[in-house]
Amino acid sequence: MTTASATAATEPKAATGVPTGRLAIWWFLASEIVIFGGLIVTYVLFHLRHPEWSEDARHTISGAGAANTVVLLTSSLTMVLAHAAVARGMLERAGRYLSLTASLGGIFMVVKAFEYIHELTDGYTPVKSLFWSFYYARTGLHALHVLGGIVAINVIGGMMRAGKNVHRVEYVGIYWHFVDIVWIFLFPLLYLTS
Amino acid sequence: MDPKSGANSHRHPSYIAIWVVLIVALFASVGLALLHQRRLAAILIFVLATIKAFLVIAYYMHLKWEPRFVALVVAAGFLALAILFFGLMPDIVHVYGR
Repeated sequence: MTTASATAATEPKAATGVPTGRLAIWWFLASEIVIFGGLIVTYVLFHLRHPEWSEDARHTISGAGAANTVVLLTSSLTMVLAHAAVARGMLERAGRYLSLTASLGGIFMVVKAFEYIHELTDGYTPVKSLFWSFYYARTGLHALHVLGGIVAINVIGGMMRAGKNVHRVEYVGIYWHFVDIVWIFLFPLLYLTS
Repeated sequence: MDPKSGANSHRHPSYIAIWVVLIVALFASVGLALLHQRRLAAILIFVLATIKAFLVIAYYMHLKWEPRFVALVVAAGFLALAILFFGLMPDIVHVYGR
């Protein structure tokens, strides 16, 4: 399979030769590495001293977490297919992939809401223990990023359908894949290995 | 890289094949969680998570074909994270943990 960023020629470039918008997204993600990574490493450090967290973690819903992982991995596939379609000038197909990606993001949010309701009604609130504080802080921050991604995909999808700024599909895609990567690590930390 | 447009023209594996690998790795992780040897299972699960993240970064985010400068930007994020980690570790593990 061969792809080319057909729209790159119209994008302004920084001195590095990388289009400015794409470089900006990578800098943004570098800062996000510190935010999410900071939460993850502090959790790991605390967990080393609190083996009793394993008991708390048994009450997370592993099936829902695994289902949401499948949903996000699939949404990454549809997102990269949207980018590939844009590169080939197939904007209608790209629009369909973007809609599918946003819908999968919506499914992720619904499943997460189901989990929250189930856990809260069982008494596992953010103040129950330090584990649950970490759980809600990290999954809540991640869910906010998913929500932001859904909004961005819809806005950029609208621009693309109007024939404007089609190169931004790649940018929102890079962001969306990052959100997927964060979940790739959150899932085993909170659901499988605690 | 196309010298005129600056665009990345490259060949890469099928996106769908990569998705299949990601899903298989996910189910392998879920299976490993059932092992009785918890420590070994945790190590293997995080090795698989790292492989999944690498596949997404390299092939879906196309970092594999970006100029080296972009990889340095990502590395800067991880360097800042490492500083945070080693800065916090004494407080959390040796002070708070007592």
